[in-house]
Amino acid sequence: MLPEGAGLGVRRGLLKSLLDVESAHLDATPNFMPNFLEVTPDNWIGTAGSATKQLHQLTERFPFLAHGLSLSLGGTDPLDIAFISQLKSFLSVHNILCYSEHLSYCSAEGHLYDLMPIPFTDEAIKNTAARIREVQDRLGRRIAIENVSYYAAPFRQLSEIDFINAVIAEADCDLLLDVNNVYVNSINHGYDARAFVAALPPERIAYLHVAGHYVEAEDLRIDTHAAAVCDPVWDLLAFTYRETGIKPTLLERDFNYPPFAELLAEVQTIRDIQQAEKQRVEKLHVV
Amino acid sequence: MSYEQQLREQQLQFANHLRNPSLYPAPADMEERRMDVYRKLFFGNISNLLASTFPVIRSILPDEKWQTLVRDFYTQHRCDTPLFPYIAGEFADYCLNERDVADDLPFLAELAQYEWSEIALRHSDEALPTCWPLMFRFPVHRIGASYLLQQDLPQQAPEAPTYLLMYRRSDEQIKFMESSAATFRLLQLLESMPTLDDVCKQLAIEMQHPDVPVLRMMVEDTLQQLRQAGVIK
Repeated sequence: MLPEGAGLGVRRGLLKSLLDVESAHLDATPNFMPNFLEVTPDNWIGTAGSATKQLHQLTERFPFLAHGLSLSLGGTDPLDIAFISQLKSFLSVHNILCYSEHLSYCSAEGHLYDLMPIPFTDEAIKNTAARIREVQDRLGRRIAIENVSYYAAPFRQLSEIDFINAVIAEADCDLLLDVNNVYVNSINHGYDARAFVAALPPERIAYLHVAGHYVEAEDLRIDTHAAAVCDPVWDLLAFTYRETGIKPTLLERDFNYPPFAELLAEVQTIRDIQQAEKQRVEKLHVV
Repeated sequence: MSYEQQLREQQLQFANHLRNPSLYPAPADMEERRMDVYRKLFFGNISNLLASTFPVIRSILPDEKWQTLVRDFYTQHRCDTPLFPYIAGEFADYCLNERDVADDLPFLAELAQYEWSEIALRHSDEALPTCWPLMFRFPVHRIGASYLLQQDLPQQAPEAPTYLLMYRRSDEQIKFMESSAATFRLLQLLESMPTLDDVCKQLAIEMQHPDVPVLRMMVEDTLQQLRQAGVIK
């Protein structure tokens, strides 16, 4: 079971703030803190030193999720079996409740260390689903895959929603729904964000991501994780709760950090929206 | 072509274009503005990551040379590690074993090894304190901010090599100190030989030292000093 509430993605630059605030506020205002945290194993496997010790302190104190970058689930280079077994022990050492990766590929005859758009084709569905199944078998657990932001759709034959739904069905895996990515993609590729969310299988959604993005042009948004979450994305989050039920939701912030209190306030906004949805549902039952 | 092969080719075409847009064309019918987002994101990410892990190399190279170096690495080197902290190792490996460019700084590969060693030592799982003896043709530890002008950078290796002890203290601080050929060799042998007796005998042969007991006293003295300085256990 995933923890309820709102979470925050751990980055090296946030370790100290998280540990400081945790020790200062644990007794006074426990609700002030994120309910859970998320870590990227690809940044930590094989590391040592003071930051790694700080990560261990955090994983001992908080419920943790993990969100990978380098598995290249949609790629065609052979799966990195040694890496998957490193992942497996990382997930166990840090008591990770849910592991997610991107519905993307990041390697083609070697790694590029960033996320490329899988061609939306039948062959790619088959390839990606088979790789997700193998990863799930090797890890001995279900994983969640994230809808990524993309800026071009090379070799496309299918719509994004049909592609995602087919992969989830064929791989028998869960979905990490990134609400900001839905919003960014809906603008970049001209579709209805709400219709997209409504077309996903709610029971497969393990948890949600929200983040800020950059407005490059009216019709081109870049998923930077370097700004505050904007109002239309908060609105889409509220809509998603109405459509799929309240899901654990995590704020991602990678660059351009504001004072830590502002990040915690954004985490609180997630909880406020969850609370509002709870009240809306309760009212419906009263009537 | 099978569908499987076709998918592989499609992905390789997209990836290669991002590795080097001037060598490999983008897939057909892609809007230029959107491919440009990808080109900037990918190259920006790898360039920023390497700049933060190789701050000295970044600081002594003019922008254009730095960008060419990163572009060459991204295009020519096959990166196998999935682990972000180890990308620096791929770059150091590329500079040492694959790169061969006539107008590169002559110490580029050694400087890359030196900067990577600091990261690798930080992440090593050895008990602390731990010390890595390093040897370079160039005095890589002195290259950096003190060379304000390009033409001041060393163009030729000095006659004597540079011996450095890079060490991680019990408090996790990484430090280095200049060392001698004898101490470098002593620490090297300590890693590979079972007893101090064996080490001293071997060292006596290599240094043509006539008196092993005397040499052993010197060795113990050196080790004691290094222990007191927190360099070794």
